[in-house]
Amino acid sequence: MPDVVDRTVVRRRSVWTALLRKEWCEQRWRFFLATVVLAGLLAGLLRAQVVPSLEAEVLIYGPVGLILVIFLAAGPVAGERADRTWEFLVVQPVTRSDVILAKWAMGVLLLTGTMVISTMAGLVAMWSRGIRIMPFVHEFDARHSPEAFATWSTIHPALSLCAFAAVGTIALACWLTPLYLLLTRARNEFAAALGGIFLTIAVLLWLTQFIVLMARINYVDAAGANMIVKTGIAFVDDAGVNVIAWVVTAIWVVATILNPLSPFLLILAPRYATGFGLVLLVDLVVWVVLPLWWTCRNSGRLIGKWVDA
Amino acid sequence: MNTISTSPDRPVVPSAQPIRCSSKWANLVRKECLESREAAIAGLAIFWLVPAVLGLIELALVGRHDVLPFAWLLVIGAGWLYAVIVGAHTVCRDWGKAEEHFLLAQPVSPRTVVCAKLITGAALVAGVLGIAVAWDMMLVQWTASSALGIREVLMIISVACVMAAGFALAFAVAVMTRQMLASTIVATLVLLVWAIAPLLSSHLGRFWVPVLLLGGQRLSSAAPFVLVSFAMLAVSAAASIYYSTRKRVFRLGNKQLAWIAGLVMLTLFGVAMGEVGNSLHVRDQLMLPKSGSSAFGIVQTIQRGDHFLVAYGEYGPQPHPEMSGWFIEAFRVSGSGHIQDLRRTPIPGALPPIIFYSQTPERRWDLLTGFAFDKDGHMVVSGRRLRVVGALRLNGEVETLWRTTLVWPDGGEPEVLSHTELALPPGQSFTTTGPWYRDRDHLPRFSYLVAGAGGTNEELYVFDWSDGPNPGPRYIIPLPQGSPSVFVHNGDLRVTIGPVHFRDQDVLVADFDADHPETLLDKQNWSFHELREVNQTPWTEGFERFGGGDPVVDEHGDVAYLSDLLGLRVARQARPGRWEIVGESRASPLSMLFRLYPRPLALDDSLVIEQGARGIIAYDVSDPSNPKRIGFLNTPDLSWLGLDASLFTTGQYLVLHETDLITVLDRPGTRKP
Repeated sequence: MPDVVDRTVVRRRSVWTALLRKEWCEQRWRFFLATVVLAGLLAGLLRAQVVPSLEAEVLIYGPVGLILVIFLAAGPVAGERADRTWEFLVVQPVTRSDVILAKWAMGVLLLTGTMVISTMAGLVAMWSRGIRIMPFVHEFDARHSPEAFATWSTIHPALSLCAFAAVGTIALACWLTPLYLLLTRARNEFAAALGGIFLTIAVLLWLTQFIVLMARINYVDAAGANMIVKTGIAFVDDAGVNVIAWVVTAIWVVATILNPLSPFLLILAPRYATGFGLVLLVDLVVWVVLPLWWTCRNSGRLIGKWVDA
Repeated sequence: MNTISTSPDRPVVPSAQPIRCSSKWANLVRKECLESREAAIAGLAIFWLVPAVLGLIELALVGRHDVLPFAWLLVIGAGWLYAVIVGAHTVCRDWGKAEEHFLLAQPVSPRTVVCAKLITGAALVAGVLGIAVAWDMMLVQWTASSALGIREVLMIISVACVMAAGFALAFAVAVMTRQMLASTIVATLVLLVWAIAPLLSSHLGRFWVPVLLLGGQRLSSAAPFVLVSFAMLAVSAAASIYYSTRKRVFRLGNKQLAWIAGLVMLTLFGVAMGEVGNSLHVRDQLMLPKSGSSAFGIVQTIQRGDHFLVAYGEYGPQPHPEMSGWFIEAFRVSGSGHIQDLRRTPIPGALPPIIFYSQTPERRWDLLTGFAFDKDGHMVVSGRRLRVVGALRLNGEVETLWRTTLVWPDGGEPEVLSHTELALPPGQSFTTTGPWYRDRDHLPRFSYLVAGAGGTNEELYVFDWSDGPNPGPRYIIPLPQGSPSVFVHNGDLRVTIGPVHFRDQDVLVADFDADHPETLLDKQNWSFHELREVNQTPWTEGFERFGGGDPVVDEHGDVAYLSDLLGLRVARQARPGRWEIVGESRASPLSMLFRLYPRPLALDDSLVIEQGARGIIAYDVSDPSNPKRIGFLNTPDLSWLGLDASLFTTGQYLVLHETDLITVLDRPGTRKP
């Protein structure tokens, strides 16, 4: 019966539209505030040019971006629960997974919109003072090495801003998704914000360990024998060095996948440009697609139990 | 909490005897104390018990107790937050809830209730912190090797002021809003503004606690800070008492609070960027080496009007070492500030720079040492030819000094007018004395090389370029014992004895005119003195400031500009030998972070550029009594590479040369097309 199918499609689409519209009406002040603050900070720092543009991007998209994620993740469900509107919402003829997905989708849209507008503001600010290439002072022959993003950014500040913003958006979306799902347990926004802060600190601490690991990998690549001596394996031939390098690289891959914010670091590390696109893809699958799939599958039971607890 | 129930049909009988004021107060204070027990226990655990246990462990292990231990870090880091939360919680635990109506139904006025809360909360904070401080001071008094100094006393005063102000602010906002979150956030924001505002303005610098601690040698230096905190305390207490009787309450939702926090943050950030930013507009840039190559050994940029010439070395990527060589790049800065008429030519006759990884059999290479115009306007390039010594290609021995004069007409090829070589005496090991052309407008006549090594029996060889080809040294001057170093820079020759890497520490220098080497022959001219910037301009003795370092001076007739870490000062010569400061642009604490080794350069009567290791700063000095900061450009610190950024000026633009990059900037204060 094609007519019934069409009606179902139309109904589902209208439900989604209604849910998204509702979320937009409730969350738009967050979008405006986040955009004003993020764009103001980024544009101000880039226009003032008190630090090189890449440092400005890392400073703003990193810490302020994480605050933005907490700000966007803490509100949607906890606000409904604090205002006692969650019960009203779930008795509507929509599934819980629809509600959860609509809130997540609006969060990601707001995050993307904020990042896009902020980046455009940053470009305008950069242009308003003349886009400046910074002199390179570290290695004489590294100016033109294509894999070093930090080096490349000194010559192409505007492009590097766009690239860093794109990677930052993906990394922040990777963290927004699990954080949002975990914070559905919070009873009010204050508790959700506190939980978001603690979880983000935990992820950042894990990322710090990751930095240490990456430094060790660089050390193995640069001088494998020294690394081996340092780690206590005194007599290993070239094959042994290769094995250790492979093991450490495998650990690096796993560590990359296990941290949603790893793209922030990988783009700054000069040695891993080759597999960077693949890492981003895997990160998206692990931290966005899988949690959402799991949530939709279990929203009737587990999420419902969390929220109704 | 006990409540009295009354039946609706029986009116409440007023007490026959009025309640005494003292018992009212006693009851209220007792109630507040009982309700503050948790806060007191938490405060004592955090600020006294934990540091006390750690302090006793330290005492047991080390045998003494430091003047500034962990307890103080805790008080400084978290004390203000504790005071804010106690201030807000003292009010909001019943005010604004159902208990408020119960309290107001009692025969006490709201003002009395709020006063009792204020006194109890203040006593709680003072008690908790007082116990912690008293315990620590007791330990310090008994065990520390040094007693409390003026700095520690100032710190105690500043921490006490911040906490008192934070408590009073949170209390007042809580009375006005009856909201815990709102009062905590608003009080925190006010404290944040109080902490950051003095960073952003030199006028408010005296209110900044670290400056107070660094520069405070007297207790009176804390007076402005204490006065401000007392003012905040008084205003907050008055507002609390005034608003306690008002029924209208300011309700602040999450949305309003978030907007307030965001806008306060943006405002502070905007002011900060205005203070340290205001970047000069970049018109155009030029990167010197060809694509795929790298530049090094950039010798010099020279200028004639709006035409510029840069001499530099370049080496190609690893498979193409044949791309290496010495080059001159010429360009013109157009009226719109763009780099135009770009030309490039290899320096005729110069051997390419050595490539350490190259497998070519070359055993000799050239190193450029100078680039300047002579009095006829011809380009003069000078260098030294080195020979590889031993298996390592890193080490070289100077064989020859050479100098080439050339012209390069517009649209033509460079033409060599003359080439002179000075062969060095064989069997001697020579070390160089720095690039002797740098910052020179004219060509120097003499070249200097040090023969010998090890600090004993070293001699200074002076070569005269006017002596014709292949002359011997004009003078051979014995150097004093004690590992001397010789630097020739900007027309000055400086002989240094002592650890040259540590400025101002046990370094003795003797200065000579590099164009008159005969003065070195007379031993009476060898007067060593301490290496200090003020020795360059003796009249600046007495113009040093605490925390500013030695001022660097640019003198122009009767006006001089003095730069140090604290800012730029304008001095005028009132009468011969007597200078007085007529104006100052004082750096704020934040902008001091972007000042390192500032050197003033007056471009004209209205513009001074201060060049330092962390950027260049432009000042409008058209009114000498009120110099104004009008521009800034962030530049990386090149001093650790032994390099320096060079600044040139055309009519409307500044041209900055940093390593391999040429940048054309707007000259502040000029109208652009």
